[in-house]
Amino acid sequence: MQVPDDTQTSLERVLSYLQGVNPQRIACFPLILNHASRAINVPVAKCIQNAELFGKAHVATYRRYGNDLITFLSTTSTLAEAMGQKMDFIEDDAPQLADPLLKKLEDIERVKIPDFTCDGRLPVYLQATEYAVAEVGHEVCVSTVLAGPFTTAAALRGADVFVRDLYKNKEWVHELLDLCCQAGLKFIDEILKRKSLPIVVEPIGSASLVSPRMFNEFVTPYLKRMADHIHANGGGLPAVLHICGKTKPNWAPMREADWDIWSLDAVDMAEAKAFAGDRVTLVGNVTPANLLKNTPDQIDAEAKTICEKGMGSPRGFILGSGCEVPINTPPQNVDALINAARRYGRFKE
Amino acid sequence: MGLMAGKTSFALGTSLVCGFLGAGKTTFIMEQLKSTRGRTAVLVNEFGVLGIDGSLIRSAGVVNVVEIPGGCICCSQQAGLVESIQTIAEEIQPDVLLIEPSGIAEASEVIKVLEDEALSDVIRLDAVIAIVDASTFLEFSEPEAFGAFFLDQVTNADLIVVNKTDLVSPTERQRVAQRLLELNPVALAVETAFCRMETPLPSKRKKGGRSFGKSEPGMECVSITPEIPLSEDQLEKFTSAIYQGKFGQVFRAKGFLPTPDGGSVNLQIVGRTLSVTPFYEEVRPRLILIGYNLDGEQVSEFFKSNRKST
Repeated sequence: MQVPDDTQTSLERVLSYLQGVNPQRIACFPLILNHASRAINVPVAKCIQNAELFGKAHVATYRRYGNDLITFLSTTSTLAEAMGQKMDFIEDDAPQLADPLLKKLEDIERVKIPDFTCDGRLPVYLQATEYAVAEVGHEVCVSTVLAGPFTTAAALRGADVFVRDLYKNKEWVHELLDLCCQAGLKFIDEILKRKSLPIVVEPIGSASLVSPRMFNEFVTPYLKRMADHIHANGGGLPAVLHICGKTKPNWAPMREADWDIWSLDAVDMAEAKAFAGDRVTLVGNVTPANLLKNTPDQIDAEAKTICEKGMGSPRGFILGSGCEVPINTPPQNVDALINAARRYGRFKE
Repeated sequence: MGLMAGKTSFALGTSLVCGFLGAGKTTFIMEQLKSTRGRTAVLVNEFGVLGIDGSLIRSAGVVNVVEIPGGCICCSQQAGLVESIQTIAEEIQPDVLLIEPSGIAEASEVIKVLEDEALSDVIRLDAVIAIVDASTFLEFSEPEAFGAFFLDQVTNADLIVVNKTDLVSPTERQRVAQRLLELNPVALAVETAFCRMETPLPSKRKKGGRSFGKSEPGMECVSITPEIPLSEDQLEKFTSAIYQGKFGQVFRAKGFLPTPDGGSVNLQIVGRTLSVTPFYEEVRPRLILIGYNLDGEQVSEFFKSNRKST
């Protein structure tokens, strides 16, 4: 089957959603993070610690694939890293958390609101963002991604200890979440200053880890502050939230947090569409592991099914990967995903 | 150069050891290492606290510990797990593999990865083990206490090690046992203190099924995965075969068997008492027989022959 040509730029396509009109075809957001290093043939660790390489990698990725969103993120622990958490950098993989900063409750004194000019790799993120906005910002939407307060707090404490804290040390958890939220709001301001779209990811809020009751108590209030902040300061930009894994049990408290676009992973897109109604634009959700191991034809078939389920969502539907495109994904599989949006994401005249 | 994973002459016997923080997973593994014969590899994913438990286990000195990156619980991690297991099978070539995922991992998700086609000739899943802390279990197993991970570990286990029973009263022990029975009526539950079990985990499949050694002197326990659905007639043939002693002397049988309509039934046999009830939750098919002189190969054969006739 022939792939129809695009008649809009990526930016025009994405702006159509914001204007409430149908684009020529749906947009496609493969969440390309560390896979971007492949576009310039440098190891992941080198790419994500150098602003020039990080920026060039994502611009080269966009030029190679034509993805409708550039996403600057190497790990969900970036904000935690800038707040004092040590990381282990692996030569050709995503960095991993070293020993948790908050081994004892009183270690919360060690958590700091970062200085965005020098702490962790925040300057790398922000300079890379500036480069991409200058280079291709007129034709594609550039986003800079940060973890939500709940995920950042879990990174500082160690996720399993943090999950137990939700039970045993509630007040302390709220104190920590407030600090992480403050840091996140400042990061959002820095991203907005650079004319990039802030996207918040909150994987530790997955229903695998927290129940709806816990989500309502520990996740919703802080995500709501972030969404409100973007609405108040973003100049009309939508608030975009990604939570990977299984989220369906937590959709009701997620909705209370007032995000405009949900990027979802292990859910049925038809069910998500029914729930989202006219309040939320949906993004998703080709299985990331399939992008790594399946054939382009299989990717096409999976994406087609998802388009059939997601198209017609009142606030719009965007084809995407459920979570990060695995680093070693064959490029032809990313092509297959984006071509599926061209083939199956068209609107009747 | 090591063997190619797909060409190893036998699949690597593998046990998955799940349990929330503080339940005693590391203690359990160290206890097992004392009695397991041959070379053991332990694959650790501590999700943010890499190396701590790995160091403890490594200090036992008889194992290879491989840590895989933590980070996100989804997607890319699955590929990492498959690759790590392939590397262990090729390069370390142990006799036994123990996988200790993060305390907040969903067992069902890890099992899905272990059942990936890429690992079909590489490993053989002998047992899914959940370690629970008897002193916190009742509180933590309340609905909405945590996300899905906590109960998922229990409901997917073949063997539940109820640890720290020395810390609770006999009444609480009984309540824990009752709750576990409600959550997972087919698992074998063993009470321990300091994770000390009388027998080691299997290093070799027992006659076609998983074996957890002996649950009491002389008694055996085998487990198989019944992948094909059984019609009512076939189920009756199966239970008759049990009563006729075709699989050995079965005292107890329990499991979830798939049915042709896509659902499953909970089979329970205690002595001569049989109960078959529809089970509406999504469950992994499995069957456990407890008794003497059990022949798991015959059980597997029964399901194979019924596959041919369906």
